Amino acid sequence: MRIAEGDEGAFSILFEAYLDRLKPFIEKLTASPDDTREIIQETFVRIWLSRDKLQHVEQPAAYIFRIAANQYHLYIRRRLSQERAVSGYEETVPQSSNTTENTLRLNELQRLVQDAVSRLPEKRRLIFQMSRNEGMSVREIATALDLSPKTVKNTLFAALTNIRQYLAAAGEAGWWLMLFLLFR
Amino acid sequence: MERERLFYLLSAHAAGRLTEEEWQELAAYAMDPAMSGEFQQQLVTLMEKAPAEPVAAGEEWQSLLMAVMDTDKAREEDPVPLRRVPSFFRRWSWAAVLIPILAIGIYFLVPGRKDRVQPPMQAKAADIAPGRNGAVLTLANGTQVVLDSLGNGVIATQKGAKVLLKAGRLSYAPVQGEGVDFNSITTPKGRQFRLVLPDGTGVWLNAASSLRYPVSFTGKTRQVEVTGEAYFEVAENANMPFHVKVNGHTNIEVLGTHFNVNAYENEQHISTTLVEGRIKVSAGTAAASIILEPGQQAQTGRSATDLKVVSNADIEKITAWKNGLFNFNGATLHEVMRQLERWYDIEVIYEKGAPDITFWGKMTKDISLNGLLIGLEKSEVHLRLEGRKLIVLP
Repeated sequence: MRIAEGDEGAFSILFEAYLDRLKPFIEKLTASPDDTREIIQETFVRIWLSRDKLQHVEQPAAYIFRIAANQYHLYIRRRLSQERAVSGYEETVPQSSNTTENTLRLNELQRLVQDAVSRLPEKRRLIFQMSRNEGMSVREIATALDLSPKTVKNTLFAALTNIRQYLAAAGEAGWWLMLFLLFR
Repeated sequence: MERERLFYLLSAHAAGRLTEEEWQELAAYAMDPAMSGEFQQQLVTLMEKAPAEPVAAGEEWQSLLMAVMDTDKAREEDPVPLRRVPSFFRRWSWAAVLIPILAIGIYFLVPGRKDRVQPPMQAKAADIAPGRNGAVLTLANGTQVVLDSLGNGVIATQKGAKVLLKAGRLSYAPVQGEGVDFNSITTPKGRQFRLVLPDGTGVWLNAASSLRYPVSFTGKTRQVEVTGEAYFEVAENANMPFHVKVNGHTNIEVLGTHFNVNAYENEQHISTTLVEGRIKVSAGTAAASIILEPGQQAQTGRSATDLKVVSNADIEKITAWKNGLFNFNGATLHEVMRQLERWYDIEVIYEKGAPDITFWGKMTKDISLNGLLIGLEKSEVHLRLEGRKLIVLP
């Protein structure tokens, strides 16, 4: 619940707990520290930008592993489609220079998220930025704007939903999952 | 059966004891859209069993975590811009809410729960599924092989040349000798396909397109013929230039490179766009020709005089199709509809002309037609679907 409200400390604890479980496994699959970092980063960005959902998740492990599995799957598909040569002649064909158009670099994602934030209705944007940029808690924002904490919380969650919809509509890989991953 | 096999392959992969053959098998599973749900499900099962090992929370992981939590913070030196919202995007953000409810593309996201997410609306009208990978291969002797549903392996042998299908992709094992047989690959509407020619050249074929090529390249040049739309990554061979003949009247001489050809008969002209390297485009007679630089597009028509060069072509937009995306940035309604006709195998009819609308935005190509149409309705285009006929109302 604290993560859902944007508590970075609580999210750090979650991150560290699952890093121990994800990193060794994914590194075995990719055999590459860089690729492992990329998959873990993409996984946690999705969890972070969907933090409002965590409060409904009964089995966090299954939820987080599902997102990580989706990210590994997207990654392996990207790798395989980049391999230009098949069968006997991979040695003779140089590696594709076609960098992954679909791979989302964090800055680009940040830019998209900011686009999404700038498109939020004014009040929603204000509350979201008080939470994220000023680091204000739900209670502090509620006091400052003379709103109920429940309204502030709902506004923050609505903003996150809008951001995810924007990312999915922008065609960014893996965001459809975040729109409708169900909770068990 | 397949579930156990997949589980075995994934656990062997995680344990680092996968043979080359098993790896190819796993790769085929990974690329098969029908197996997506199973693939991810088996991975989750393995992750749940995998032992935790303490990872030193060093600086690299701390900075990764910080970067993750910074994604939704405004950058200080970069205040949130108050740009005008492109209308298509604003509308699509709404469509994004609705599309998931309707799209059938979700099967791989929520395996085994299709029944739960199927909305009642779906029963109303039959939805039209998006296109997928597939093509028809015509061998030199006229035999046709449908490549949609074939498994992996050698699918034909001709004059010693082996035609292999692997992970939805066709390739030719090179042979020595005088193979002058021609094969062709044809994609109907609603299918696209990727193949590797005997010289290692990669070709992506968009819907309603064809490629004719020899099963092995001999002689002084490598000559292929194309209709529709294709993206080429030509393997370099200075001694044997690569020639593409387009719709019988435009020639592209390749000097080693990546480029896209759009030659649909219902587009105004043939557009050849260079991504990397150098190519020479000739229209009609060899007399009218031009050498393109990367980022340039040549537009050619039937006659030798129709040769025009556009600089700063939008490469991302032009090659979006091969990356599984629609990119409608700056597209007119007619342009959008022509793409939908080819991908969903529908016919678009304009009851009273086309409204003058410019679209913005990108969509993945794996959504169903209904999902897309809801988005279009939001952009104030009025549409009616009758069977496979899409009618644009005034």
